[in-house]
This record gives sequence, C-alpha cells and structure tokens, in this order.
Amino acid sequence: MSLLYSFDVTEDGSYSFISEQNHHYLIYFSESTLPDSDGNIHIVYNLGFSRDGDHSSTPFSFKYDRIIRATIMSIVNDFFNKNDHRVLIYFCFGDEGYSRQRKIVFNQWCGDLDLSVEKHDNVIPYENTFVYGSLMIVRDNPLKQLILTSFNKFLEDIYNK
Amino acid sequence: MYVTSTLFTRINCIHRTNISSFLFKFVFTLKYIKKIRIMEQVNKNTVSEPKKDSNPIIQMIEDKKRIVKAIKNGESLSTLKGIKIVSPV
Repeated sequence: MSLLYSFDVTEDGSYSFISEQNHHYLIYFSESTLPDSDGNIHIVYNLGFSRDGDHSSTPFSFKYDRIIRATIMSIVNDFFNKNDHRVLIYFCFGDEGYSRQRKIVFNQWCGDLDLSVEKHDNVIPYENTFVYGSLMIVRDNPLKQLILTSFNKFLEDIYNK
Repeated sequence: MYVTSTLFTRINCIHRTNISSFLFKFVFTLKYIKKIRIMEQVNKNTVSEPKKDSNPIIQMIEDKKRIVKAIKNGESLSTLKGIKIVSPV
C-alpha cells in the first residue's frame, strides 16, 4: 500500500492537504443533476482539484511527488467505494492552452482507478475552445446505460448547436 | 367689513391648503427616496445567481468555471450561489 498525505475536510466541504514541498492541494466535489429520457434524475459529481489556489498546469519546477497522485486517486477510489451508484465527471479547461497536457496527466493518474470503474472520455466544444471531459462510472451500476445515453444525448445537442 | 373678512378667510384657507398639499408631497417624496435607497442597498448586497443553462453538461462546465475563479480569488466555495459542494468521501 502506497503512502498517502493525510487530508482534512474544510469548512466549505472540500478536502485539503499539504505536500512535502509545502504545496497546498484542494480537492472538491460539486453536485449536479442529469435527467434521462425515462424521467429519472441522476446525481452527478463534478470533481476538481487545485494546487496553491490555482488550476493551471503551467511549468512546475518542483520535484515529482508521487504521493500527490496517490492521495488524489485514493480519494476518487474512496468516492466510488462509498457511492457506487453515483457518477463522477472531471473537466480540463483550455484557458491557458494546457488542457490537453492536463488531460494526458489525468489519464495517467486514472491508471490507479479501481478496476470496477470505467472512464468515458469526450471533447466538448465550449466558448471557442475545447473542454476535455471524463465521465467515470462503476461498471456494474444498473443505471449505467441510462446515464450514458442521457449524457451522450446532451453531448450531441452541444455538437449540433 | 364682511367682504374683507370673508376674502381674508378664503385666502387663508387657500394658503393652508397649499401648505398641507406641499407638506404631503414633501413627505411622500422623502419616503420614496428612502425606499429607492433601500432597494439600491439590497441590490448591492445581493449577488444574483447566474442563469442556469438547460444543457446539464454546459451547466456543469460553467459551475466548475465559477469554482476555479472563486479558488483563485481566495473565496470560500460556500459563498457560490447555486453550487452545492459536497463531501462524499
């Protein structure tokens, strides 16, 4: 079992830890809903994390710290252990031109995802740029097909705009 | 004498009516100004929730953009109207 940073739950509900090199990481989940064609409303969590109050991936000249990845992915895996019927979405923005790089790093990190979880990647056109999105869901989720069909339908609506 | 007295009473009456009408309008205007100031203050103190997009994917992206901005500005995520931060772990 790999080493992890111990984290605290902050007043606003996010998770926070400080790395060995004194960087402050914040991990948060915001709750959204996704309606499907059968009239069901699915709860979807939007995952995000920041380093020192920034989401930027601009050149970072510090030593690679594998415990950061292990800690964040352990929180994601713990999320699915406790919420196996829920959906998690992660978006990478392209504001500063690093969304693709961030997406590549996140994909590498997802190598640590529990095998029971599957990831569906997509590229979403948004405000003259692209947002890279990953929808994560437990393979055995009985509502998986309904959720994916609904998500893809809303995605189609964006493409056809 | 009677005519002078009547005339004087009428002038006095008109004068009183004008004063009371003026006072009424003055008080009404003051109340109106006060009401506008209160409304302006309420508008200043209330940050209206951004309009929701009908496409939930776009809405999720916009919510995350607001979260990113709030973190950058050092604001607490609990101040974001319409966004529910949860602790599912």
